[in-house]
Amino acid sequence: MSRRLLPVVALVLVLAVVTGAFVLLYRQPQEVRVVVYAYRDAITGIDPGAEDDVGVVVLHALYDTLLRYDPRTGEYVPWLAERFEKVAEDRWLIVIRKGAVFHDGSPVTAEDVRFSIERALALYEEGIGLGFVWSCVKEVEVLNATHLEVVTDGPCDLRRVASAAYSAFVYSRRVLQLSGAANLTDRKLIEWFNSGNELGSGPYRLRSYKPEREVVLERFREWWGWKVVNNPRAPDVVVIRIVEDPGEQERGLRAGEIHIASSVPRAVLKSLREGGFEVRVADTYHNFILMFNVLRWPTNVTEVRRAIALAIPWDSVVSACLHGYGRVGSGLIPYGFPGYDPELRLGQDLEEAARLLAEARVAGGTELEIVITSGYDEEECFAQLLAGELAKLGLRLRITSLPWDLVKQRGTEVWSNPEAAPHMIINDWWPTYVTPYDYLSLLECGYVTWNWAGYCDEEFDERLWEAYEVDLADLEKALPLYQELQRYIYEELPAINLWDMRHIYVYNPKKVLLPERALNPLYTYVVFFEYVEVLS
Amino acid sequence: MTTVTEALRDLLRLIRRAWRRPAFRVAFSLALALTVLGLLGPYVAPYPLQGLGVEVVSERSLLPPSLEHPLGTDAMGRDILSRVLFGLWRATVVTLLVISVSSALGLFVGSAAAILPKPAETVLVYTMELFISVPSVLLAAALVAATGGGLVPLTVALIATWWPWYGRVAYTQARALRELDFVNLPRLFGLSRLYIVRKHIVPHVVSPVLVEALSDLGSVVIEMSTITFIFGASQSISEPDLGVMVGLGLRYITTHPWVVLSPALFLALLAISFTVFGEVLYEEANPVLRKRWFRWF
Amino acid sequence: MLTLNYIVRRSALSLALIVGVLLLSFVLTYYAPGDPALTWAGRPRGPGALEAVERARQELGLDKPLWYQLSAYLQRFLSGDWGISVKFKTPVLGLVVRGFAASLELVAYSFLIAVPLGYLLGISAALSRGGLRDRVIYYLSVAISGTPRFITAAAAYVSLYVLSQALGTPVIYGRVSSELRVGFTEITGAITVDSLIQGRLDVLADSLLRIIPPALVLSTYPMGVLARVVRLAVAETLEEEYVRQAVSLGIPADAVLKRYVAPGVVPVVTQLSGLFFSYSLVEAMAVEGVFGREGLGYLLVKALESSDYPLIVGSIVLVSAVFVVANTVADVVQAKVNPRVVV
Repeated sequence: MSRRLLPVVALVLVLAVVTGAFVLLYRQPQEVRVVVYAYRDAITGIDPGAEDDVGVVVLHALYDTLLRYDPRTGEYVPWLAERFEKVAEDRWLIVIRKGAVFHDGSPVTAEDVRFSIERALALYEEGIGLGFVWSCVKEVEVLNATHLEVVTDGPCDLRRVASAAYSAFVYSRRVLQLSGAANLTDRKLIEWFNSGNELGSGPYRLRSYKPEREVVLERFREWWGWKVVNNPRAPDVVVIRIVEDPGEQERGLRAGEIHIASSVPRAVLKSLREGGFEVRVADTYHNFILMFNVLRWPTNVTEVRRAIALAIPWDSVVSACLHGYGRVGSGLIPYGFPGYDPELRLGQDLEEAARLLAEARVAGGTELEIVITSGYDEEECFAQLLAGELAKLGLRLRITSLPWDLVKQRGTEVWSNPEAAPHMIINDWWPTYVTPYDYLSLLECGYVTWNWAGYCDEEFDERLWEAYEVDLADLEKALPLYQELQRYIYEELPAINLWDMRHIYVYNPKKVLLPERALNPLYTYVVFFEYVEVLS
Repeated sequence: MTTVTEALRDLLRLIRRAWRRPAFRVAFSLALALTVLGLLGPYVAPYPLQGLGVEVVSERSLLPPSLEHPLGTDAMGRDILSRVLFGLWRATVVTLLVISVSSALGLFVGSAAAILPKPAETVLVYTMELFISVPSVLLAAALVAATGGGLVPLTVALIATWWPWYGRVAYTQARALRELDFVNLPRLFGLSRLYIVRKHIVPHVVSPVLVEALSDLGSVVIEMSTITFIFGASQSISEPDLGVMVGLGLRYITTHPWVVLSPALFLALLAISFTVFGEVLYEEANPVLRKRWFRWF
Repeated sequence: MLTLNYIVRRSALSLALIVGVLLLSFVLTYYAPGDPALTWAGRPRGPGALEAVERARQELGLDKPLWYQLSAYLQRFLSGDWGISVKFKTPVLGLVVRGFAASLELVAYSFLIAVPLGYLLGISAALSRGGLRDRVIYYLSVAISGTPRFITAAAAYVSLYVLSQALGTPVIYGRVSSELRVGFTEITGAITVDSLIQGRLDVLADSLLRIIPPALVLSTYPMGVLARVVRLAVAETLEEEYVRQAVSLGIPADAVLKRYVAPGVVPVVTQLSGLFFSYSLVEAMAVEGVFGREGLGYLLVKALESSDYPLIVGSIVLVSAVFVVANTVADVVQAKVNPRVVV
């Protein structure tokens, strides 16, 4: 090996680099429009009837709902349903859009709508999914291929239900055949969906499904909605990439690998704006509820829970942890949502907290455990703040940070082994549809999946169901009942809303445009990709 | 023990020889200064509670260097100088612990392997080869997953994967010695193997192992911080560890660079000074480099 | 000297070591602190936890006698069933192989850079021993190779970022651009190789461009050490009688280097390369994180978050087995190349 080899090697390297750079920089403009959306939690499943968690981010692209609702305008937008009318006190007529087809080419029929509704209800009976939204449905009558009538149990605004964020999707009944399922609630069907299959009528179809890393969607050319939406620059391919670390989302954004980021560290927003990125702040009904373990010492004592709640530095929580992008919580229901009560706010009062702790005879040095979700820097910040304040009261706080699916596991532990379940856990919540029942249902006894407080109060449950029954017929009439329930909870404090969070989407306006209508506070973290415009 | 004093004397002689080189002088002084700083760290840190991660002051997060916070504050409002001092303490303590335990272990096992009967020798040599093949980071990951994290699994994993290197050195050295009379004669006299290992073999093997150990200080610092850097994403955020600090500080590198610069600088200085110190020492101890390299690397 | 005997013995030893690695993983699995079924299932909690732990217990066969457990374990591993990842819910073998291929790709490129450059730098330094070039190379290599790789990676990443912002070129992040990745299928896990196999030159160019900076960063350690070792070895060889004689006879410098010096140095290089391989893999996992590349490091972080024990144990088996094989190959090459090796 002589030294003459060195310049040759160097030359080859330089050539490679130059060619590479040339190829990269002066490439032909892509014929395929690609959008990469970064989301921070692994997708929990894509069964349109059973999914009750973050899978909606994908579901709203694969499937259509009959209607869409915009809480900002109060309007119901006909979506898969061309007409959705009340024809009698307890009867609704639904007409399916002409030309709506599923991804396999078969037309969307009334039978499919009935199938979807019935399955949602059947699954809910077995404790799966959020099919409770259809609880006022008594019967579904199919009139012909495109017309159906839904008979309800008493007066019920079905429009609210048909535009829900969960369990209101319409899918083909052929899935029974395709999955080999024997009936509506056969687990085989759920597994079929969750291993990466779908049969919806939405603007995108599923190309590849790796729930931990990325889900790739491709445009469904025969979607009925392309004419309605009128967006010639809609993406052909959508990549929903799971990036748990906010810092990584930011780097990917700056590197051009991510086009729309949903969770960047708030501290760098100013710098991103200066760097030419567009920051879209969206109001949502997404709130962060701190749940106490009411079955374990010392949080089983109301005074202790109140003390901890009074220790929280309410004034600085939003500015410190959300950098102002949010609002302090009041009661369990978020601002702007029906049932919100501004009177249920708390303030920090360390003296009172100390007094309550002494009253409950909590020894100094007692250790409490809080479980938060890793990568949620707002929760990390809160936990650290709380630790500092509790230290002033002589309490030690152990912070356990886990990925979301493990947080859920620890949360449900309160029912099987309350002594091992954490004292506090943060359950971030967003609506299924527009009803205060949604947020209060978190404290229903037996709602093992999401009731992480272990709270079990028969009277509360009864009154809650009463309120919901009234709600189904007339929301306005139910509001005072809900208010009473909130006050009741306020005394017991099994759970408390820390803050309502505003969502921050950051994107590069030279590459993509994220118009207002692509986001909707009712459909949390859902980006309606059919409205996204890809520029380059 | 005479072996220890003899080894130390040899070491001192080596250091004096190495002192001739200016690079060594700089590296040695820097390494010493950082080690002392590291060991004293927790006691001189201006905000010890923030350093440990117990206290958090969110309103003062991401402040640039100032009089109150000479190195600024991190994302949780903690004083970076205190954090770095605590991190330095961890780095120095773990490194010294790993090096001393692995070299002692390797020394004894390697020497014993040379003198024990063939089956035992094969087993010991096999064990050394086996642990050399396991990457430390993965073993540390397994231990962390099984026991739940902390400094102990990391240290154990490092020791488990480092000691075989010294074992090999000791073994090769001891093997050369075992043919010599001064080892065989005591055997004929019926002295126990353990005694022979202690009295006759170890003294001659200590020096090369010691030099190896010292030259590895830098590598251990780097390996340890690389592991914590990789793990940092999944571990608790209040632990003051230089690797973790760099990992977390990376989030803000384009907007608040001081968060990552301080721990990175201290880590780099520690690693480089230890490395140079070790390398020069090694070079001085082995003037005829080639033969040694073939033998045991 | 390379004899058949040596090759056979060395191969036997490496097989024995691989078995040893499997045994070690067995110990790690069955004798992990706490309940091995719990650890294997990833410490699940909440509904479905009991079933998951039961399934793990069945899979591990904990109620059976030891010899049965051991033989079942070895059988499973050798037949390719390394368990299902708790986090990713797919077979561990596939995950680990693809992750390893990605990290290996990076290490391979770093070696491609480090070995020739380290060698040439070392020779260059040795030729001017004591002079300015020598000292510059020495001090630079010490400073750069003494810094932990993830720090140099961070520095490199930031510099490249600033540069690309200034020039308006795309930023180096990830293994291949998102747009190109969409239509591309991975076969081995090493994108530069896969793109070549599939004839996708655009993907090849893109991925090559993205692999060069991290590979360069990773190569600083082997390059630095190699440069210093070669420098020393060459400097000493140059002092030897036969070399002086060759020079005095008028043999040109290049020939002297090639015929007299190189043969003495090549064995050193090969031996050290074997050593660097394992070290570099660990560092590759950290560098990957900085440059946003997916590989073994990414898998490891995810596995730790979810206590994904099967994934971690699977990675240990694969990587250790590869190291054993690599060391064997290195030793065999050593024996061939260096007549002085005593076997």
